[in-house]
Amino acid sequence: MINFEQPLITFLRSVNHNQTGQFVYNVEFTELLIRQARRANLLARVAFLLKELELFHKLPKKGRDHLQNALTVALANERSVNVEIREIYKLLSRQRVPIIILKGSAYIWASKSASKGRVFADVDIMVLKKDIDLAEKIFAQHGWLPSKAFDCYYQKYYRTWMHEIPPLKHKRRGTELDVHHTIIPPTSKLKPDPNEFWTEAQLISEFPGLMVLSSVDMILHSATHLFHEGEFDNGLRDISDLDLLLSETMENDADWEGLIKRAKKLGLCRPLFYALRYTSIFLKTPVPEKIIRKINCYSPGFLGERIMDCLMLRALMPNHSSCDDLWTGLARWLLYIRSHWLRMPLYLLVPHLLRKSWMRLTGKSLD
Amino acid sequence: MKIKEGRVCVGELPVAEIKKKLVTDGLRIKIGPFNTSLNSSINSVFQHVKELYSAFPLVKEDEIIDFYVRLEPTSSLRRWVRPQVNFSFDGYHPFLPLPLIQAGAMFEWGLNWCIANYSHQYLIVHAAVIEYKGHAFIFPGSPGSGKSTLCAALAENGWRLLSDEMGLISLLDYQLYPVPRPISLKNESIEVIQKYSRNAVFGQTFLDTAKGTLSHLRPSNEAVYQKDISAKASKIIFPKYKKNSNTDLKPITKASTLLQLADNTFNYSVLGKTGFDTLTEVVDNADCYEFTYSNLIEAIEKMDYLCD
Amino acid sequence: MFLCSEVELCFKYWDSECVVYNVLSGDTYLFDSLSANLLDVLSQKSLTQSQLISTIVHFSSTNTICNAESFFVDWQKRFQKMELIEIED
Repeated sequence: MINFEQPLITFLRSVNHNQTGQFVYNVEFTELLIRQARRANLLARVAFLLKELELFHKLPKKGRDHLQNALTVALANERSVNVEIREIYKLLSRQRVPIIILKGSAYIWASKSASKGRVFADVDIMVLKKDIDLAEKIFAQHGWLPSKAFDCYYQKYYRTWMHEIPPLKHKRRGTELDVHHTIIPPTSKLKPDPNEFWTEAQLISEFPGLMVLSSVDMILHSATHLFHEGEFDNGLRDISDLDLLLSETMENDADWEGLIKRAKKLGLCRPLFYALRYTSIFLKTPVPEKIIRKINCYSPGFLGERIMDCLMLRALMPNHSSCDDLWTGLARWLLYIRSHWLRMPLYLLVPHLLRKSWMRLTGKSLD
Repeated sequence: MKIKEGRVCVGELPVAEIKKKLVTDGLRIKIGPFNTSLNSSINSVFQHVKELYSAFPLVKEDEIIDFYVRLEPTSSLRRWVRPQVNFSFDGYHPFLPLPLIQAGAMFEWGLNWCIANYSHQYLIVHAAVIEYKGHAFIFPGSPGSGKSTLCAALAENGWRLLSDEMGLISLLDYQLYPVPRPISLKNESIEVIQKYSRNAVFGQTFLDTAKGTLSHLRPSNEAVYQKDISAKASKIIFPKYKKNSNTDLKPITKASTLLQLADNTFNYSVLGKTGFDTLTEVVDNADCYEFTYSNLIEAIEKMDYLCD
Repeated sequence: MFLCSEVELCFKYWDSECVVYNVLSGDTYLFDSLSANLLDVLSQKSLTQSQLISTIVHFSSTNTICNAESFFVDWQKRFQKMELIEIED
């Protein structure tokens, strides 16, 4: 049985409903809140929210220290992203290569509420498919090297079957960069037209050629990334991002209708269904009834919903022992397999997974 | 062995109770300013703690734990062939497994990792910090500089150990805060200190680690009892052990000290301008030197002399 | 001439040396005081070449324009390469 009465989840829910004053920030509650938030990569966000709500002073000193330290790291992350994007922009704009910044970096650059306490390990950008080779060449000439020694197999995995060149790392600054040309692998069953994202992208005024996705597309991208990419260590963090993006962007009925319409156009209704379902279950994100009815048309059916609930409700909990039950490990593993199945046809999937297992057993690892 | 604040320390617990806590709800030890909860079913970890942490006070029930750490054998097939140990921080594994026999050393490395990553209320310098007559000396150093040997010898000579690896400088008052722990010594240094001080108590000797042969010197009870007493940095000295060299203390500029110290600070980039301001303040108020030595006795005399 | 836009500097002078910190990137440098002084004045407003050369003469013991000019040429090359300064077109 999934227990949602965990300090981290009840705290985040209470923010949505202005009920944060209900908690007693004693040692027991504070310590578990911090431990869960840290494992869920949400500690800086919790710190940010506590400060914003003027509750920070209520916590015991050690609790304040840990929360402040998480904010310190988030600020350092933000500084680093600003430097990176400016450097990347300098390099690509000279060759007139337009860029869309994706995910966490975009939240910071576009000052979205999802930037609050957002920390992330790498910078994600998208370029046009025709520019990908040129971009790779420019990066290679300016200190960006493959972050690991990829053999031919993994080179092909990233280039042909995924939607990015192999991850890059800057040799001096150490930052990691992922360069995509679409948001989902070309081999996957969902096929949104990449040009659509470029058409609706928001320009960043002082930087011609530098863009972020439209607010609605950010929501759909986040939903698609979470439910098809299979990385659940940041699962609850991504749910929280979605919750903040939805609250900020959906101001009235017309906005909600626009979201559904856009999802239909891009063929991303199934990820949106999951996004709305799990943000409302976990964080009680307020979604209008009639929107729920409309998006339910895109549910995987009664059995599919039950199975996904069984897996997702476990995998999206904070990755902390206090939130695990007997089936959590299995649920995460099954979703990992599923995410590969969604991205690769079966004839590619089986050898790929076998190869990964072999590498791990023989002590080699790409992780 | 009771110290202030009505605290019980590890050495006062019956052996059976230490073992029980290690395998149930955790042995909760105060290590400097950090409350650590340790879980381990590995016997050598129990021995490591019993030998080297007996003077350390226990955390009280109503205090927040900073670091939940666990050392357990890995559960893979390798368990039967060449057993290994895994370190985890509240469920997260930052390292690859190590040979099971190195479990005690892994606890120390793991704790270094926890402090370096989760203590940004301090500027954390990779340095030995040791104090005498109110003068705190910071010895920043890369491996091979001899800072740990010098630090151990001074500690055995009546100086107060604040730390052998991590100098904690508060961002609020620029003081050095102690985190006295077992001093890690490598290769020839172990024998040097054993010869230097008959009272030196060492834990297990670990062979074939990534850094060669390794052992830990128990910190003095006084250093542990005074863990809450901060100190102002009086001298910043870059040591360099060089065989057969003369004992040579050379003043260096504050500007070059600041740069070198920044290079030796674990969380310099995380702290941003606050880190720069803190280091500037500390360097401004300290005398800065380079120190070459080969003779330990002479080196200690020189350090004593600097305190007068 | 002016500081690059990605540059926001702090200065700490000790005798003939200066440690300079770029708040935006975290890069930390050690320069001679005179070189740092030039950056310092540029961080307040942009200056022309001749203004910078006068600054050199003012701050240093270089009392000939010729020496100051030669110092300036080296300084400009060095700091442009480090991407700390930019020249107006």
